[in-house]
Amino acid sequence: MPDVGEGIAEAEVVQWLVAAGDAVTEDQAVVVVETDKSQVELPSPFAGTVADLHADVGDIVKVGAILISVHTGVDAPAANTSPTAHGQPQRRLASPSTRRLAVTLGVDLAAVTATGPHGRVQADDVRAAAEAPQETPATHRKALQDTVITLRGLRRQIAKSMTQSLQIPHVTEFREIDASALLTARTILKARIEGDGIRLSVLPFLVKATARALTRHPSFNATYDAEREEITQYGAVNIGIATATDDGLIVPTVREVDRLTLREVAVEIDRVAELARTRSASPDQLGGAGFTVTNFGSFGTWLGTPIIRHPEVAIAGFGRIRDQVIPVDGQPAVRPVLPIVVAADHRINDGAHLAALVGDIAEALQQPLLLLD
Amino acid sequence: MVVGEMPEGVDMLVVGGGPGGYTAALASARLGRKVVLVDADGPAGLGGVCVNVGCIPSKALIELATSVHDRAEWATRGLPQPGTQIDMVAFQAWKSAIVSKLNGGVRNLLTTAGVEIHTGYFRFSRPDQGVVERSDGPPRHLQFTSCILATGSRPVQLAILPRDGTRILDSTDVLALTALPRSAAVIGGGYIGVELGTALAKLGVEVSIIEAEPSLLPGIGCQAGDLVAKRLRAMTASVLTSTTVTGDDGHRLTLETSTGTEHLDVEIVVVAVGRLPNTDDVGLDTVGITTGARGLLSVGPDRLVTKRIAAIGDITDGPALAHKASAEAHVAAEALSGHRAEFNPLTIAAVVFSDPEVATTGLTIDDAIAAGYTADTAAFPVAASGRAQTLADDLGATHWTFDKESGVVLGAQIIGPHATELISEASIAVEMGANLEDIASTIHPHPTMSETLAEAALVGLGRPIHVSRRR
Repeated sequence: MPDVGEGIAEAEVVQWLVAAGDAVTEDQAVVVVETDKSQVELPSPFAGTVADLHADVGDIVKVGAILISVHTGVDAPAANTSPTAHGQPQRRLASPSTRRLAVTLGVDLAAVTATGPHGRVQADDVRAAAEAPQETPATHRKALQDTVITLRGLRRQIAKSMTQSLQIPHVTEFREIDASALLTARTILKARIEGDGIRLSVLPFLVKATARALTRHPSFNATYDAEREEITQYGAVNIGIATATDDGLIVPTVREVDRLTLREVAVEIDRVAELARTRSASPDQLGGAGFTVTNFGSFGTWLGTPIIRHPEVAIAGFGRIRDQVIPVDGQPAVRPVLPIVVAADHRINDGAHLAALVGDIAEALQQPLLLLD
Repeated sequence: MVVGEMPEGVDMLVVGGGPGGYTAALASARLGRKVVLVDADGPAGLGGVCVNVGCIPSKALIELATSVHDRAEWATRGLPQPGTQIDMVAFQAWKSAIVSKLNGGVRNLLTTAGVEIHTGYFRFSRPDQGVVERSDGPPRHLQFTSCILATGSRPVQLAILPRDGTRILDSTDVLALTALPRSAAVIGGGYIGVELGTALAKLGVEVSIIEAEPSLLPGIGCQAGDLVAKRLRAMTASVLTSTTVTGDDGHRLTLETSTGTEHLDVEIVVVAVGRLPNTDDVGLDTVGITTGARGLLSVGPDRLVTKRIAAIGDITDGPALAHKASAEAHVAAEALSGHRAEFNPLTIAAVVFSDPEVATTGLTIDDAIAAGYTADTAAFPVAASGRAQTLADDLGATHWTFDKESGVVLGAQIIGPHATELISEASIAVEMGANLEDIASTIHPHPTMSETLAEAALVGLGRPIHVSRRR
């Protein structure tokens, strides 16, 4: 198990790309491993024949441990001495149009009952397979059975890091602001920016306002090492963006947010979120954040209590903007209201510090012109 | 990121205007996509290597060479001899007319389909964006919903024989010759080297083909390379197999043969040792994808490398052939447009315009055995064909590879006149899952070379007619 960088000490085997007896070339990818939130293909350092695999899928392997043995000697058995059973190749007889039909209808040719000569799959056989009831009574019964799922991959990583977060004494503050000016600013910029093919949600404003507040309150743009009793305050404002993916939560980083324009923040959030969603972000594209933003409002949620990502010391969450009746100049008025929640590590910052940070975030979102400052 | 860069939105971006790229653009347009095609050479690059400096111009040269060669051959059979010199300038004019007609045809098809054609060199800058470098303006930033990458390949250069365009040439240079050299060394006995070497030999150039492997056209089997070498030697070309070039002093090549060191004085050197995928300078790192062995991209049956980017043609695994790229283009356009699609052919025929012509499709006997079939082959010699006699060309054979138990045909290798045209019947048979009886029972017209396919099937069935029963 080679060192894959970023101080990662272990990785989980996700998939073997070769089996014992396979011939491998130097640098051929042989295994997919999952490190802290990214998947990496590892190449074979040698050419030869795979003698043994030393880990099963799901095993955690430490850096330096043996993953695979490869015969490199000339006496190794040649690759073609492990043939498939004689006369049993995988191919089903079917014309190109029938094969295309099977792909279109999502039918596995190997599972189709063939009625043609020589076991040939006909187009009607494929249509019959596509129309066959997909759910039999047996599968209904199966649905009632309980299922035990072993935590693997990203889910296991999330479970581990959330448990670490449990050690952090959270202090959480809530605030609601009138988002009228924010929505007006977005409407004006949206027409311009989306004309260039860039999506403009409110998230870039939230991130930008947070970055501005962090430059004024650097004690929140930090990580804390409890063992060494040391706080590291960061020079750059690098913000993690909580991103929901098919596999689970991933937090890619937008770097130096304080140096980017609003438009660039929008583009960069889209880029890093795409990297996260396609699971193609490298460890260095995921790490390095000093603060995290979670936009749970995008799921329709009004308010939530975000959990600080260890070893960071704070996290901001934003709820859904919705119309509320609020007093304006002593009269009830309907206005869009944005809920803001910030949680902080109480060991590092007190309630008064936190209130000042939240106040600065709120200020810039109520008066977005301050983002030009 | 540069402040002020504002990407233009593109629905379907196609990079490369070769047979893969332009087919992908047309197929995408037909699926309702708004397509932008970027090519480094712009409209002039449409048709790619194939139309401009590959398949098409080389076939033009081969036709000229064959006519010149046949004219002499047919002198003994009654053809009057005009006795004039080869006019390479006239040839180039004719060739250029063909190229511009086909290139213009592609441009017309694209513009009629509503495809926008941009000129410039494209590189990705992020997973959904790229930059087109232009010689006549500032770089153009494009943000795409979908992208089909079809950047093709370029000839491999040899470190000891760097191309200079006058003495050391690549295939493109040879096709642009306006005067014939006295002598030429062709480095590489694959299909490109064999085609160019044969054409030059037929035009009267003293040709030496140098191949590192023990035979020409390695990988095709059925002694194709030996038959081609036999014909080349009959034209007084020299074929040096198991030979490599180890040095060059500007006039004379140093060769390492199986028997020792030799020297070869030649006027021009043609380097045709393979092709290199154009994946090294398209910004793949910004998209988060890496290339595998030999710079190729690995793709699934849907051709996708990311959710929004597909790769087709010479930059992906498989033979670097125009018709493979075009077939993949349809799949990529469909897969990126929300349709289920897979590239799953049983055959990608390969054709060599050598003398005799060579064509192969599906599995060879070695492939079939390696895939687990109990397979056999059946061959019918071209010499037993009446039509071959009237063509005065009887070298070669038609071979079927088939599953012994069911007789289902798995592949075919054809060496002989019109092999490049005949191979498609074999491809259809393999794709449709035909067996030897289906082919033998299909009446083939007499007298044609296509009869050899039915005759070879009869050989496989143990009922040969025009050859003696095989033992």
